Amino acid sequence: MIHRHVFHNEELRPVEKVRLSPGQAGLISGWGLFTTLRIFHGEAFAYERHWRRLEKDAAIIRLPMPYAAAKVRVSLHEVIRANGVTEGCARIYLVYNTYGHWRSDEPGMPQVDLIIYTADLPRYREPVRLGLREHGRHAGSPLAGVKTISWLQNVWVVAEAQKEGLDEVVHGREYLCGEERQDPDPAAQFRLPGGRDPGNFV
Amino acid sequence: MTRGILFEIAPEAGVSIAEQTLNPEDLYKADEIFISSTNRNLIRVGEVAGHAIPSGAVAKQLDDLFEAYISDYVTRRAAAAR
Repeated sequence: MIHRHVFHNEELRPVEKVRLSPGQAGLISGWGLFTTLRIFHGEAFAYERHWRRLEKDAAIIRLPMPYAAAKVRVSLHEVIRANGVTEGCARIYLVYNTYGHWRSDEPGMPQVDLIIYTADLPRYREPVRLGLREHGRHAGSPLAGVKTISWLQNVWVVAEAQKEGLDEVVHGREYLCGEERQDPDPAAQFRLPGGRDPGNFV
Repeated sequence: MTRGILFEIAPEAGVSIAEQTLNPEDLYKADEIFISSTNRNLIRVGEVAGHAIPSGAVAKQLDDLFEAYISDYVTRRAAAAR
């Protein structure tokens, strides 16, 4: 479970005091980004890399980036300190609020919500047992490799696999239009065309 | 993120790396498999779709390398904060 203190936009608050709105269009549709950071000795590991990926992915999905890397890092460490985390993990979310028809016009709602929280490290066993999942990655999508908050495909597949006693899943990519299929198993290929990153296994 | 860092630091430690398309059969006959994860660094894989995967030394070697990289990062950040 996540820890109690959460950073939301400009404030550090107890989670029960944080309000998210149905009028945040990106929250409902999944138009947003996130990243998971490891915390070692109270430090957010590889923060710069995580931020660079957020900026790169924001450009791909046309998500405005009104937040500065240095300021978000300060906010992240506020959360880490408030929750007393020395070893754990954190998540940074950016949620697009102000696009399309299904948004509200609530005063004070920023263009993009910033949400930061921490959690303990998940427990796991080793070695892990993997399943294979056909069509787990849509390699032809312009969103391939982008870590959006539309994460159902990943968590659902793992939840289903865990019912079978597995730990994680290898996502096979789909066959692209016009691509000659050389293997009878539709889960056969695991890389994206052009060497793009298909995103993490889940 | 973990994988990206491994791609940078592994060659320096003499572990060659290549990205390529894999079929399930490639996984089933692998000498060793690990997955990388922000929350778990490197984790050894013991089974893929019911096929047992042997353990090997590469995952441990890379995990040690990655831990050292993290330790160096945290030390540098702490020094910069002083």
